[in-house]
Amino acid sequence: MRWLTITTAVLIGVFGLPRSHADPPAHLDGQKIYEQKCVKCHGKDGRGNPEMDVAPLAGEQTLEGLTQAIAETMPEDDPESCVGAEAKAVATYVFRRFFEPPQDQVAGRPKQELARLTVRQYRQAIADLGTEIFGNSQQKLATSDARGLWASYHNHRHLRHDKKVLERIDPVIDFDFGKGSPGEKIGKEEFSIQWHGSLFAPETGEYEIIVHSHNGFRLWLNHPKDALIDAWVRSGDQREHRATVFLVGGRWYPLRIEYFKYKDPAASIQLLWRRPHREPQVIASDYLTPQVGSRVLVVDTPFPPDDRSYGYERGNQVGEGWQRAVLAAALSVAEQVVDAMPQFLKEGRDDPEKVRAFGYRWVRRAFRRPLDDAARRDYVDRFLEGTSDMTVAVKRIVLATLLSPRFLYRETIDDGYDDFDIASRLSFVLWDSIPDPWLLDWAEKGKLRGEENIRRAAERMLQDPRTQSKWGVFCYYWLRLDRFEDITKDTKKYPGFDQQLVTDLRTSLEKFLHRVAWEEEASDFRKLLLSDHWYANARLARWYGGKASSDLEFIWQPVPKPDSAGGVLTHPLLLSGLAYHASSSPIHRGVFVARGILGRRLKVPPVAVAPIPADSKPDWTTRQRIEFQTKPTACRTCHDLINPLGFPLEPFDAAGRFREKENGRPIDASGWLTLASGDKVEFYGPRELAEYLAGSSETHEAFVRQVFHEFVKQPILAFGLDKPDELTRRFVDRGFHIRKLLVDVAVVAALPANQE
Amino acid sequence: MSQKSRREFLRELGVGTAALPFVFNLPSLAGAAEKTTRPKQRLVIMFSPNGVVPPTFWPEKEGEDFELKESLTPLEPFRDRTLILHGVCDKIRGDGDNHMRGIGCLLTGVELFPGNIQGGSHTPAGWSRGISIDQELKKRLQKDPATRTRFGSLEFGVMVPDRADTWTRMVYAGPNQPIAPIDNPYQMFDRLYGQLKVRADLESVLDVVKGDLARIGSALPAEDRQILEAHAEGVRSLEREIAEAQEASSHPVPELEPGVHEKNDQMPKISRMQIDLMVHAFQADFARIATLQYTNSVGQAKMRWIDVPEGHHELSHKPDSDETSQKKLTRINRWFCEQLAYLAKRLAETPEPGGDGSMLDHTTILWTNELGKGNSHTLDNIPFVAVGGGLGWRMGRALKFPKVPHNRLLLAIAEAMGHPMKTFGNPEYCGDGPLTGLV
Repeated sequence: MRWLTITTAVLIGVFGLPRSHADPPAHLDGQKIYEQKCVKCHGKDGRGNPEMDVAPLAGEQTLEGLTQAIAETMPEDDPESCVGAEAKAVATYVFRRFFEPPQDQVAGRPKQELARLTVRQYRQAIADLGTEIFGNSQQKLATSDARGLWASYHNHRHLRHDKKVLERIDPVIDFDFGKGSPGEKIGKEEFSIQWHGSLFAPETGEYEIIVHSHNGFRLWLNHPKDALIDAWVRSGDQREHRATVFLVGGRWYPLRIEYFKYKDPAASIQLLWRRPHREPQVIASDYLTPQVGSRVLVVDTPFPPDDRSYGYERGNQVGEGWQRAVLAAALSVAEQVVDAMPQFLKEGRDDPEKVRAFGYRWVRRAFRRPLDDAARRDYVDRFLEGTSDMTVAVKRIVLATLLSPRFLYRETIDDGYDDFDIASRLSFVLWDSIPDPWLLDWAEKGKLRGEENIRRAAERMLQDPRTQSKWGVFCYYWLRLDRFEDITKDTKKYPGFDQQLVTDLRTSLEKFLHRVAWEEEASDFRKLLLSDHWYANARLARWYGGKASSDLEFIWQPVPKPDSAGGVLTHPLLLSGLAYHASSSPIHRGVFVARGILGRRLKVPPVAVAPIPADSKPDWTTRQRIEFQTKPTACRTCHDLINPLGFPLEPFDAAGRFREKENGRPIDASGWLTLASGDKVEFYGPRELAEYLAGSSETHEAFVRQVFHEFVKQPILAFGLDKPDELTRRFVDRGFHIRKLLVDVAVVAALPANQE
Repeated sequence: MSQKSRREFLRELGVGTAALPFVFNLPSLAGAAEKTTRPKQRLVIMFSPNGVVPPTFWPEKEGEDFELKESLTPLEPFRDRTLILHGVCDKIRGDGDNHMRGIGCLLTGVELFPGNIQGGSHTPAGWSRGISIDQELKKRLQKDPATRTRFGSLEFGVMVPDRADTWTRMVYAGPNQPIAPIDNPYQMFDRLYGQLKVRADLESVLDVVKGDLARIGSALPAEDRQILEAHAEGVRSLEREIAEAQEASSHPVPELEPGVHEKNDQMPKISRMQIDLMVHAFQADFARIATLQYTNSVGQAKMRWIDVPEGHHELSHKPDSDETSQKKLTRINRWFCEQLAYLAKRLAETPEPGGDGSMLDHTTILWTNELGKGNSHTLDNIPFVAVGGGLGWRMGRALKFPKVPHNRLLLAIAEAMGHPMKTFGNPEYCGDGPLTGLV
């Protein structure tokens, strides 16, 4: 058990290797033993082997702890072969060589890496750069409470102003007028309706917009002129119209629909969408506002995924795939900007001076700092000299900007770390994007000097859909939702557990995570693990128990079994995602708790093991099967940790439904955890597990560390070896306040003192 | 519904990743190295609206000894390469008025779906129920490596109104799948040659990028410099690729006069630009099939440049007794015929790349219309005038048919292109098979 404390420590070291070490000490015995028994996995220089999931030997460790761990667990395939004096000798060697704190702490600690924008940051930055041409109404829409779409009804097949008989807000578009009229003073034979407002995209990805109608309509999304769907001509029995559109998450998109009926046998219109990884659903009013926002500049170019091997995206790959994507994306943006010239430059679109002014604005925003003469010349002026065709000049300004390292690299690449770097750091940490104009202005006026000013800026940036959207992304990875994008269950055992239900579970969890962090005053992290309430619509209430009357509306209510509640731990999306097709999986659940909540490091299983099929032991419980299968010594080092963290969740079946028995046998929900001190903590059932975890300092530090890495995308130790402790202490002192933690993280990341 | 939005369209122009290879390389000429068993064949279908004035259009005499009436005089230089088909009728009925069916069933040979678009008479209708003959042939040509080209087909338009409805669409990729013609020459140019512009743009910006990468890299510690060096190497190889692609592609690229806006009075200019682009595209073997749609069914061009200030459709309703109007309508049709003749001339002047004779020897242009006659709205005697040798028909003749359904002509075109079919469109009108007497 004790060696797990090493791996926790090793995790700290994984972010960077100590660089300067004196020659290895000449403890020849230890060195020989190392070369014979350890090199195979740990490598000659202790760097480990990523393919075997062996982390580098580095980090904080005592000689005593190391000796004990080696004696008990090493070598992994034969722990008995290196004990006693031998263990001590090799431990001494390993400690001196790899773990002894170097004289110069700073030289040895992990460094910040030069990084390009991650894919998400690239798309967000382009969307914000787009406000230079389209304007920015995101804040205004985000703070408005109005939901639904504005509608005008006309007693004519054309949307004639003089035939307008009704204006109102429609919460959703889901109408079946049959053969009748949509309202008083409107005929049955012919009428028309216009809806407008904006649509919110919660996450980045491909959305399918689906309209069912018996009649003619056009739908515009994020473009004033080009319809996304033009079905003005109703033809034959075609009722369904679909179009796919890529949207950047956390933003509102202008939406307009024009609809008419003329002599058709029936009248209806229904507006649905299919969000990424979800089933088609009527667009609920939560995602609609009657206010018309400005357009968003969207890049839908596919990019190769970023490296997430350290648990957060690192912009460290600039290979051919990425370069081609950057090129294609730059061309796509240039095309869109040129296309929009008549709107944002108006009559000035043939005037070189207007174009020059635009260019300076655009480049300053993209480079996040004022331009010097060389930058003005290289990125703007020269393209105006070369041509009289202003579309060519604009295209080249945009292309050069977006291909420039000054845009593409996130961290400071000029000498020194100045006020503009502070602004950039804040905005990339909190928004994954470039600074807003006000933030650049603050930098220019020296209003970002000193911790208090930086904090003030971070607090102002907090209440922004971009920060909330990043919180959503953090949760997605923190809860490993990327691992179960496709959840299906045995239809005989779990009838009714279908993709619609899974889609509703996703919405339910999403709303919960948003509520705790952003809607509740306390913003209390512990509530994520302890809450006995959840969101359910009618479908979820029918299946899991609860009250709700509509599928479109999610009601905040007590979970079906409050005395077994554990916030996200017992949310059916996680419970069913961390389970097999027809049976629960304490191992998946235990691994999640160990890694995701406690931040412990686990290795991959030494051998591939197929789970014992449930039907081969029909009268055993899942727990019995797992205990039987993980009995071998090779399994114990990890499964002694994993299994007892998963067993307390056994009262929930593979679909996340509460159960008291399995195969006629009562559930045994006892579990435990061995701490670094060697003490054993015991708990019984989901509630006790959740309460333990919510109060554990291990959990708190793991959460802080993960938040820091997801938001900053640099190793926390690069900002000071004391930062994990310092941030965790503040987090605890301030009542586990999530939003305050985000501010603290941003401040630590942005302070010049931490930019060694 | 598979109509393309402008955004999808832009993506196709070569700005999406999928299209990125075109930035660097044009696909090799299909015709250059191919071992052809058949000589290269091309088909152009040209459309003008609102019917013709029969007495100034149709020759009196049949056979080789025909005369070119006033509407057709521009074809004089190509008399022996012209074939005029009288008596071919659009027999398709069902929903929609004659203008709608006239254009919607012209190349599809099948009825329109019922729908919500109301014409001047009859019942409302939707889109066509079937694929059009040009797209059917394109599909077949694209399946065969010997006839496959970069685009397969190109859909040109001239002053087509910016709205998608039954009157503005002639070409269909399938039931309910109208294809919008591209009526902006610059857009068409981008589709054909966009990658050249992109290359020029990239060339002009890459040295700045390289300079910045080098300058910044020199100020960084070694481990951080690696990533910038890898980045710079990528930029250099991009530059090399562009240079190589530049050398490899030697297609003649047409020069377009800049700043021609889509305005009624620019129609003659736009027409020429589109025709020039089409000829260039054929020269590079980008496609073997093209359509060229002037305005739309019910089109309202005001041809002030030939002294006809009235809208075309409005004028086409005037009675036969209104001689002034009939004269104007004749002038309008003669103007369309001039466009046909200009296309024929350009093709005749251009030697067939890698083949014998001129490009006109390998191309048939078929000029047609949604109506036989404007003021009666008849679908009988739809004008079909063919010019050129692409289909291997015996030219230099005027033929009169006894009111045959136009489906049979569509079948004859398919047969002549080497893709015989038993039926096309509504089988009821395909009874006697492909129209005979053309070869």
